[in-house]
Amino acid sequence: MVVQVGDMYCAITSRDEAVYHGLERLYGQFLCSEPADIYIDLNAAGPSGTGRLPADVSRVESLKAKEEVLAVYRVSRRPEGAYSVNIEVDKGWLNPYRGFKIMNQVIPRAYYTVRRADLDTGSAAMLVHACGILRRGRVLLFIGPSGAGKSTIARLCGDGNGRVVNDEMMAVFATNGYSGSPLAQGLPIIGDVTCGLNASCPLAAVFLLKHSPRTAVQRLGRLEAYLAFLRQVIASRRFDTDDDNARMLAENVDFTDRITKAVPFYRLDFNLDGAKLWEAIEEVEAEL
Amino acid sequence: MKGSSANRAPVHNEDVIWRRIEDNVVLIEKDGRSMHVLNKTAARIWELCDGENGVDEIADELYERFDPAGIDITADVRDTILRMADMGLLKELEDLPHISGD
Repeated sequence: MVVQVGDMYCAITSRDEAVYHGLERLYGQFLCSEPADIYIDLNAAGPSGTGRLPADVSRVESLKAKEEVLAVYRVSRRPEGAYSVNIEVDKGWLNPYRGFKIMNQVIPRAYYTVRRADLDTGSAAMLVHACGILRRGRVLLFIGPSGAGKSTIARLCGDGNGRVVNDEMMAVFATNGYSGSPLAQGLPIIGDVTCGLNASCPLAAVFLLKHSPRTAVQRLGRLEAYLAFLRQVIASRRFDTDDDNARMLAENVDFTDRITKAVPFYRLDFNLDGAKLWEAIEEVEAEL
Repeated sequence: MKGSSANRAPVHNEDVIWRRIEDNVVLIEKDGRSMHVLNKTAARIWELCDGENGVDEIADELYERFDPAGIDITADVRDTILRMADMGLLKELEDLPHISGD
């Protein structure tokens, strides 16, 4: 299968049919027939997730959650130049019954490996921890640390209030080729509520979430917006190079600078009262 | 007079990325673990810590810019620079000159 990830295409194969078909069902919205920019071969390994790789690999790295190794991979280039990544995943992290959340590490890395954030031309996206809601042809992003309520916002979306693009991660282009303003795009990322909508629309506003007994919206100054957004931009870890913290941080800083200049940011105090929430959002939208 | 040697003129630690955001400066250590926000005055002090200006030159510039009504701000400038150096934001200050009357 070939899956669209922002503005690039990722081929995914697996010897395990249950894994392959499980992913195919999840990624239904994103399946396409474009030529792939990167090839991912994904298979379950032994219980430890290590030790089953061929002896001649030139490059072996791992995907981790905290200190636990979830998968090991090796990278090569195909004759035409596309990256090829063989990943062996601990069985506990790749099966149709316990979910495929390892893919939420694989997909961003695949994206950044191919695209690298091309901040000079603004042609590539950065990936952002956010819930994206599509309303009236524009995307609103809801951001905040883990537990801030991104999935709650998605659940409160309901009929008539918009469509959830993704409740976990979004691609954000600093400029789009037509209007020069930022664009937000859905990703094949597995959220709590949805695996995503393959839609790409102008980014209208960003809301910083805060649980509160009352519902209120307040415009944020640029400094508050900057500090909030910077923490949610996903570092551009790649399959083909070691992590370079300074480079990744510089990319995030420059990207945050551009987005916070181009899009209005608000603090959204909210609770489970969906009617008041969308009323407050509507008032903001009227001024955009 | 400009600082006569690098260690007398404070200079940014290269492991710190910084950006001016309106009146403030945001400093981020390259390991991504620490972030600092400087207010308007500290932000200007930071910008002047370019390896060219000593404490007196920085204080003179701030005096002209913020017009603190006759108050000698040199000691405050020096304290701010020392605090930034203690936090590792500036390169080590081996020989920061004492200020007049200090």
